[in-house]
Amino acid sequence: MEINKAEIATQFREAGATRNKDNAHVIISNGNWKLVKEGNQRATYIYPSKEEAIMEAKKYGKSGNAKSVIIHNIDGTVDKIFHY
Amino acid sequence: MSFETNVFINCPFDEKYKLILKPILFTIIRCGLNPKISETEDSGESRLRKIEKLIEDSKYSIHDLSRMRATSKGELARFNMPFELGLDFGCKRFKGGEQTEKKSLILDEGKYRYHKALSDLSGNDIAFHDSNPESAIREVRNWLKKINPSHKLDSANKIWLDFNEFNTYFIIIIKQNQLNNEDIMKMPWSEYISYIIEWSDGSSKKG
Repeated sequence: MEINKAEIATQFREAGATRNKDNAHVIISNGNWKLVKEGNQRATYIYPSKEEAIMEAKKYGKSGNAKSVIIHNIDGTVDKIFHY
Repeated sequence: MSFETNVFINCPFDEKYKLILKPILFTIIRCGLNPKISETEDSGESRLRKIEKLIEDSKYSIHDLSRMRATSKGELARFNMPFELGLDFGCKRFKGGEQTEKKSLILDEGKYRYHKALSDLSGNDIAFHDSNPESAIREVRNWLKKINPSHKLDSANKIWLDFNEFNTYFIIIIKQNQLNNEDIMKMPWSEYISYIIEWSDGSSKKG
């Protein structure tokens, strides 16, 4: 399949203009794992380990607080995405 | 892009260093500047001439000396980074004109190694990222704020969160367009940079 770089660039621009409040991210910051709603600068919850953060984030999604929970790696890339 | 906004990045390009290079590129773009790395220059010139041109074209520079020590027995240390740092310092010192305005950040992964390996640098500002991407963002952002105090910049925390969000959309968009892991691993830096710029432009125009 031929890559349409201009089309992909447009998709990135549109994605940048979107903050999906239904997304919750689990990220590492200053040595702690934090659950942060997309677009927010403050963590909703802070956990000492990634395992605990993932477990609690899944409950958070299942409870209807987020439609997607994105688990990140320590380098900021995406590890897993859970949809609810 | 102009001399005033160009940031020459002198760093390793190995797989392990992507952990640090990607957030550094993201931070530079989020702070309104234009990263310049040798891989993005597509010309028939020699590698050294390309680097000289990047140095001449860039008011700012970031030099990462993380690879000054070989990581395994039999491996040689990399001398390209200290060499290019010397070229940049020489350009500032001897070329005159706008080159005297150059500002540099020297990064390393650990504290005080340069005292032994490159003691001539004593007295310069050197920052340490401990191979931690969030630390790299903080050091680069804070350096840019320090040299341009009047510039309004997002906090390092905000840039780190944005970088994580960007990575989410990156993987979604890339997969939607049927690029595979090999395409991602071998994506040219110029292409990766262009996607950060687009996302960042969209982000700055939102609501």
